[in-house]
Amino acid sequence: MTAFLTRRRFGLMAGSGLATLALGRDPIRAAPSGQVVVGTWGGDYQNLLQQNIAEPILQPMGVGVVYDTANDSVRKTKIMAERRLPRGSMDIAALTASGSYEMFANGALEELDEAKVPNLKHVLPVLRSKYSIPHMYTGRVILYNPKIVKDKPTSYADLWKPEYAGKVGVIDIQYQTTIESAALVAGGSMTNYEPGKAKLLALKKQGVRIYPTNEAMAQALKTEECAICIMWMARGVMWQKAGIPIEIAVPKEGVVLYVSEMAVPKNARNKEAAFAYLNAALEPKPQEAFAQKMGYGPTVGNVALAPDLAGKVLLPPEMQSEFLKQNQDYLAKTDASLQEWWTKEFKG
Amino acid sequence: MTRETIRGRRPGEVLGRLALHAATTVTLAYIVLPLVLVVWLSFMADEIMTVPPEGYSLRWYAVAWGQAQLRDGFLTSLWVALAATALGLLITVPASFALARARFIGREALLQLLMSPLIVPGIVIGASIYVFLVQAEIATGLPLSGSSWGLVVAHLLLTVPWCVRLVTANLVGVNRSVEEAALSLGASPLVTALTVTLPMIWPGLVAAAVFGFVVSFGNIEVSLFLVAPGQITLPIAILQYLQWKIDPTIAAVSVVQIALIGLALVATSRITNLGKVV
Repeated sequence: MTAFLTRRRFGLMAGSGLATLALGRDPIRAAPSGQVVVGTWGGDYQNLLQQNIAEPILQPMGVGVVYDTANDSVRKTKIMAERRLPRGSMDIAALTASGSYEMFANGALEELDEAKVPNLKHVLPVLRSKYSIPHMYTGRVILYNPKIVKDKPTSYADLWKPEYAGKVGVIDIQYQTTIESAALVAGGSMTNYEPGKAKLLALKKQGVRIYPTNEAMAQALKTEECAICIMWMARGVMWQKAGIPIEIAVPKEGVVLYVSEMAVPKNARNKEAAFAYLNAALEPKPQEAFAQKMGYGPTVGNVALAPDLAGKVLLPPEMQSEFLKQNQDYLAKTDASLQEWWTKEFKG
Repeated sequence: MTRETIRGRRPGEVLGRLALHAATTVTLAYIVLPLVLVVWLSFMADEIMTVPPEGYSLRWYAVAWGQAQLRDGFLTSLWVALAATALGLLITVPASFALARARFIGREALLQLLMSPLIVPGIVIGASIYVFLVQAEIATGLPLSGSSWGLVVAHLLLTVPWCVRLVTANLVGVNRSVEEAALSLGASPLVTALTVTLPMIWPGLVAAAVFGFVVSFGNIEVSLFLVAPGQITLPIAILQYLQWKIDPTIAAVSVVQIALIGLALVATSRITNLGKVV
């Protein structure tokens, strides 16, 4: 007997036993159950998450959903503060693309793959990352009032046309995207916003209107104080629904994406349920509901929108191959200086 | 006997009166105008405010009522504000007795300490308490962060300065000889405090409770980091609603809030004559 079970043989057996246990875990993932805490924006977004993901998909699985409602800046701070806790307060965090990049760079997010979230295989390749799922997206476009802006704009450069002087508006909190759009027509790129600065100072000379928030811009478009601006397409769709007299134009410089994402913190309490939630968020039905209600595009390829809805929320097919994504590395390094320039030079 | 007002007729006096009336009207308008605008906006039919409005409607009140987050937020804000106010009074009434009656080293420092939450930005208070709770959880293993009591403790810091200031000011104004009479007739200091002093400062206590409640109920900065999962306060629910919608629903919610707080103030004023206290 002693000759049969040598130390070497025992080591091999133990090793293979451990390996079997480890390998065996993935194919038989524990069924999701219990409660999942979703850190999210509130309002309509949370209502739609509840109606289209929690109630029809998670509840029948036996998973209860609780929301931790806040802005993403609060969520990021919480994730960072709780990093050392064995169990964090959120199982899922809804973040902007830059937010999830930042959290992943700080080592706070779980890596995702198709074993954990099978529906990742349907995600549009341009939107995929290894640490988050894209929940919905929209593109940056030009909104204009056709009564005042007679020729449909084709480029961000049209905002500089002298005939629109005094009718062009920009949004204070959108300083980053505004400098970026200006850079795209002034020889800059997604990794070089510098040329946008001089271009914007020229716009300032022409008498640009600066609105503090998106809401203030909506108001100005409604009253026709402002006739042309740079905005997210989904907001444009929403504002059209609210009766603001605007049309949407796609700039030939390319469409920069805004992606709303969801990620799982490494110290999530209920990861199985979190992965099930992410998978549910990528199902065609909820994706369609968000397109319908919020005007954002589906992030998966296996959803077929009705033609009239597709016409409103999807960018023209020829533009889809030219989507531009912000370079998060570049923005992480330059954001503070961009904001400083905006406050001191452009607004000052 | 009626009191006659003798009004000067000289041009300087007439001009002075006119200037006074004008200044009073402008100041009152400045205070009341935002409230009037919010009420007006809440009845406008348009999703985005237009002047003149295209019509009037009550539908934003119905929309507000249909929003579960706003309803839940109202209830959370209500209980947190009530708890923070009650605890605030429990702490500050004894503290105010000590501050108003005793002379001891560090009295001024203690008063300033109790008033200090007023000079620290709310967002700093909220974030600091949150980080403290996380650190305490790391050290002790107790589930402290994300509990409802963290929010109440933070709101306690909002109510304490108001309660201390109002209760102390009232205690200073109490006629000590009434208390001394009670003590000389054999009442213990505790009985004197409960049956003589507290009834005398009752208006101050009510004012402290009302102001503490209002400050806590409407606060957003302190609450941002401290609301527990599954909870939302009304100001946060309002802020989050605005993230996606810009219709006058929020104005309707604000009108309800203004009406409730206004009613509470009027009722309190009737009972305790707030005007004399604050």
